[in-house]
Amino acid sequence: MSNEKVVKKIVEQVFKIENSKIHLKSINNSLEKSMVTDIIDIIINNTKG
Amino acid sequence: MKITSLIINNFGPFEGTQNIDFSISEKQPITIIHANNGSGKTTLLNSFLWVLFGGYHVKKKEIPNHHYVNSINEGKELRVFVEMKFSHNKNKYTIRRIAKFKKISNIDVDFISDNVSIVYIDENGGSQSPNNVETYIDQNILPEALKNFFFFHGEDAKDLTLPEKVSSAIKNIMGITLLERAEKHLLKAKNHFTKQIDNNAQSNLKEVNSEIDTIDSSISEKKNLISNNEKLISSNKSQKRDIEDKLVGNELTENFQTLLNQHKIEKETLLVKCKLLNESNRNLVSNSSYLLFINDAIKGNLKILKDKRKKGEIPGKIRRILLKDLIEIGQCLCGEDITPKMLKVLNEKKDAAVSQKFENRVAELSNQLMIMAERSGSISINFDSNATNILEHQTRIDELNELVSDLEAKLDGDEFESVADLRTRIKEIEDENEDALVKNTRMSEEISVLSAGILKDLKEKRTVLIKQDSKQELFKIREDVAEAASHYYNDLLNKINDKVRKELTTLFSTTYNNIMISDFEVNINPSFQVEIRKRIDGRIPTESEGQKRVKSLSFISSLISLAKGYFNSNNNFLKGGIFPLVIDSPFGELDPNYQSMISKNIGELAEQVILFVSPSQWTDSVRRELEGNVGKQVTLKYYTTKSREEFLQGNEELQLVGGTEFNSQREKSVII
Repeated sequence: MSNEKVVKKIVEQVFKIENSKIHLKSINNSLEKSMVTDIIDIIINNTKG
Repeated sequence: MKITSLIINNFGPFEGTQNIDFSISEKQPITIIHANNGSGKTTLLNSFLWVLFGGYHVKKKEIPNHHYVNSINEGKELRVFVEMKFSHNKNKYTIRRIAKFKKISNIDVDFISDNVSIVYIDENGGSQSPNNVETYIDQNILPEALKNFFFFHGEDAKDLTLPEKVSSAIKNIMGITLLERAEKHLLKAKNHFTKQIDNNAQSNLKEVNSEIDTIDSSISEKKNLISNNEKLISSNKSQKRDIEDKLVGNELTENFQTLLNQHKIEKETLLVKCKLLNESNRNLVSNSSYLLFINDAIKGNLKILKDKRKKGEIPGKIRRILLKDLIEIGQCLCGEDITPKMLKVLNEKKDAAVSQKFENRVAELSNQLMIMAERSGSISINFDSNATNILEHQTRIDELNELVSDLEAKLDGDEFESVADLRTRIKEIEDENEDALVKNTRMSEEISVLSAGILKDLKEKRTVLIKQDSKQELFKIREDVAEAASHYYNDLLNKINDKVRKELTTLFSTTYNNIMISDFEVNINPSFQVEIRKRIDGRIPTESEGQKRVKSLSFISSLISLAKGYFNSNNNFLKGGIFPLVIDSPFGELDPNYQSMISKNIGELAEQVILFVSPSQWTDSVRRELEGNVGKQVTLKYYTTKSREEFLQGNEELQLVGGTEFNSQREKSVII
């Protein structure tokens, strides 16, 4: 898969994660870490050798 | 969201369970709540916010109705609640918040807890009860960050167009926060992969990474400085506008002051002149006034002397010589000889004739009298001239006194800051902005040079080094896609921000110009500052309180309109929503003209409008402009213990304007 397609896929999946928390006025550190971890997993899953 | 009804139970001044219905008509979207001051308007406004978001506007123990507290035994539990029914997105909701208290003395209670529940019936008749109510409300009904845009007191409206509020409103109402968070989280993910590369790097790659970090930090520092400078420039521009507004007023004031000073100086000069003229006249009077009084005598004497000359009585010298000559000749002028009797008479006459000395004195007296007569005339002229001048000066002084008094009245109470000081401040701000701009330009150039030069080289070198290790290469790919995805969100954020800002500007401009019946150029600039200029000359008008109120209401209306447009649209990022407008005292102390303008247009601002008005605001013109759009009118009734009894017996006439009867009850003192 080209990088462009990978980026598009990642953008869509990140949107889902962010949209599920959009109602929150602010995000605390622990929730933010958890969200970033989820995003890292998305990137890893989309870029496996 | 359309609010159907509100049930209030022993909440603040509202005793027992009371119900209020609101108009949900499309054609008549306005509900008017008539209320005197102190009859529970603020509590009612806060009850909307309390049921939706919690939060206490007064001390918790002040919440239960005093009459209710009094009716409960000590040690027992009290429960107060507010329940709101509303429709939203084809669902019908009932939200209820209950607060529990314990009575600890005759007049005191302790707060125990509160909880909120929400139930809704969907379009298929199914019943749903979300668990996390506050989150559900925030996510699905109305974001809490926006509550003050839709439930507010008219006096607070003007602050709603401050740049930070505008920016926050746009972000929250349109869901733009998602994009900001996505970008931020992706950059954190990118840093994670960068760190992985660094952890697995050989010394030469570590060295390159370290150099890149140093340059990145430097660029980041410069970007922060640029951003701070941009904020400073924006804030300075706004401050400059305020000073320029003040300058216009103060220039006028300064002109008045200059004029006032000129008038005062002229008045002082005239007063001095009058004083001198008065002194001059006093001197004339004290030194020479006798001349004025003897003027007639002088003239009389001169006349006598003149007559005597005419008759030949003077000069007397002629007559004496004549008599002497006649005696020597011995003949009369008629040629007859002089008899001894005649001689005797002639000698007597000759001896009686005035002496030369007397003649001289008479001549001298005549001269003196002539001089005095001349002086007397001149004194009179000078005196009259001085008197005329004094009168003229006095008339002008009277005029000046009036002008000075008018100007002092105009200047009275003005906190005056000199125009020169204001211009100096403007100059300082301009200098500071210019300096910030120069610095930003320089730093931007430095960033470009670093990015295109040494940083680019280092990154290329880094890529080459990473490619030598397949494991590292994978980390690099992940780092790159994370960065690319964050850039995607950043670009999208900028585009959407720009799009929303422009759409909002168009709606804002239309509403504002409709209400003002004018042609202003309205703009929300990239720094989210609301700018209003006269289209005809591009000048920024000095805004009255009325204009500020119209500006805020227009802005809120445009937000509501934009959010409605995006509600249920297919746009993933702009979620929108439907919001009511609930305003306590929408007209405040505005002048009648603005009251009429707002009244005429307020029904168009939102799908549902609930207004709290006091009798003084319910003027004929407001009623006339609003009444076509009013679907329901309600009156809050305040009464004391005594009048409550009368009220319950039905003896007191309620002055309802129409619509639903609604009674607020409050005891002036606690009944023991």
